[in-house]
Amino acid sequence: MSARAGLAGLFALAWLAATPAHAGACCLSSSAFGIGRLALWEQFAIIVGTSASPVAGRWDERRAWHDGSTDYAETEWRAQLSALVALHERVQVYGRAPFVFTQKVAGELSESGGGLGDSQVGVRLEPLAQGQVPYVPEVSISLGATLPSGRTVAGARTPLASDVTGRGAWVLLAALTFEVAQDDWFAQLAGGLTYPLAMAGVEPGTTQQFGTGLQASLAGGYELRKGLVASLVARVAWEDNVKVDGVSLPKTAAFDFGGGPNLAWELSDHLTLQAGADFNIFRGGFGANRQGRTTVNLGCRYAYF
Amino acid sequence: MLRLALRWMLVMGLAAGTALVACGVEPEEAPPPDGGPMNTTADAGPADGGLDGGTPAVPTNPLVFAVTIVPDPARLGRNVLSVIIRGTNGVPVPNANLSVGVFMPAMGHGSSETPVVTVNGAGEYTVEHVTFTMQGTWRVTLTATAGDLSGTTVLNYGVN
Repeated sequence: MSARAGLAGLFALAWLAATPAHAGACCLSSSAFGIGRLALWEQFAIIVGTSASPVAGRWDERRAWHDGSTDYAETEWRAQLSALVALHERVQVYGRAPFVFTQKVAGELSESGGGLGDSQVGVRLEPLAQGQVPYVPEVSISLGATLPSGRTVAGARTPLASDVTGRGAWVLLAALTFEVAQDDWFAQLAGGLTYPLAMAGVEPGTTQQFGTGLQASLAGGYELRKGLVASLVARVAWEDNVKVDGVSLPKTAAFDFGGGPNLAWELSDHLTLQAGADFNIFRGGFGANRQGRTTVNLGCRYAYF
Repeated sequence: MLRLALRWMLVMGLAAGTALVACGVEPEEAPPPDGGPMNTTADAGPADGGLDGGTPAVPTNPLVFAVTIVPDPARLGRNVLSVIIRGTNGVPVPNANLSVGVFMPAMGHGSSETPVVTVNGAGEYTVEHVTFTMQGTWRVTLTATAGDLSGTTVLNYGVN
């Protein structure tokens, strides 16, 4: 696998791993994994992407799966603008701004709405580059934060809150990633931590804090032909109980499994197209307190060097 | 809890399907969140016991809430609560200051709308815009004060 193709595959993974919508915008946990990285020769990159994510059902607090009912439908569309800038060959900063649009139908109620979602900023450090030490994978560390730039349920203007685009919490993010590329294939193992800060509670005078989250993903890719890389990713995300005034609310922890195929196509030295899908496992036991969705993604990455 | 509820229903002539809650009753388990039967919990006030053992918690001036929701079972979107508030002597409490909070514990957010309380007289109140924005278990907290009488009750609704 050429160095460029391997990076193209990893770029696709990074973008797609950050976008699966396993919950509505009101309740979506932050992704700890950032938006990927720049190649050694790249000075900055801009990524534009879009996704569509219909709801298939949900898991309740007992991990029981409920198929979507015939009189309820929800789909989220998301357009995302991301940028990466190299400060040093081992240090990159990134930012991401999502725009969320949701349509909901419940019985005779039908509504839609959207706006700017919760944004992210962060820095990626690469203490160990690919090939720097023989037989040792590349190691990178991402540190970032989610900004509550979206509209929360409290600011919703419709009964079903379809114009909600964010969760309302500052979240600290950290991730550790190991990557290796060899011949025609590459592999990536990533683990992340999310720590939401306390915020004003729903009831006046109270404080609330979403649970600490742990995320992990495992991916592998293969160069089908020059410049075309296919990959598969499996991911899991877990979040601890919600707390109100420091007291943990029982049975509010959440988790879900998911994954799917991705494709990255290098159109030129500067331009890469990305596409993929993410699926939850729509059975009991594979989630809790989360909606189950299928997410389809398309993206385009332009890098300058 | 069932014996207590039946005793109150006989005394007050409440209709079937009405949730009856009195302050001081031991909290119960949350209901299945799939549109199943509504269940209730009550604020026990002093945390030193309840009906199932220990010293019963006896609030100084408790209130009794009888609550029905329309539609039943609760649905996505707007619902309406009919609330009857009485003292423990069974006398209706008119013109109580009733506030209603709506919260979804698993998602950590409230409702998109603020409930609107209408005082109908004779201890009866209507609460409109009890709005559930997504499927799952919702917690509705009713707090009432009237002079030296006060009470809080918490109800859980499963929305499918």
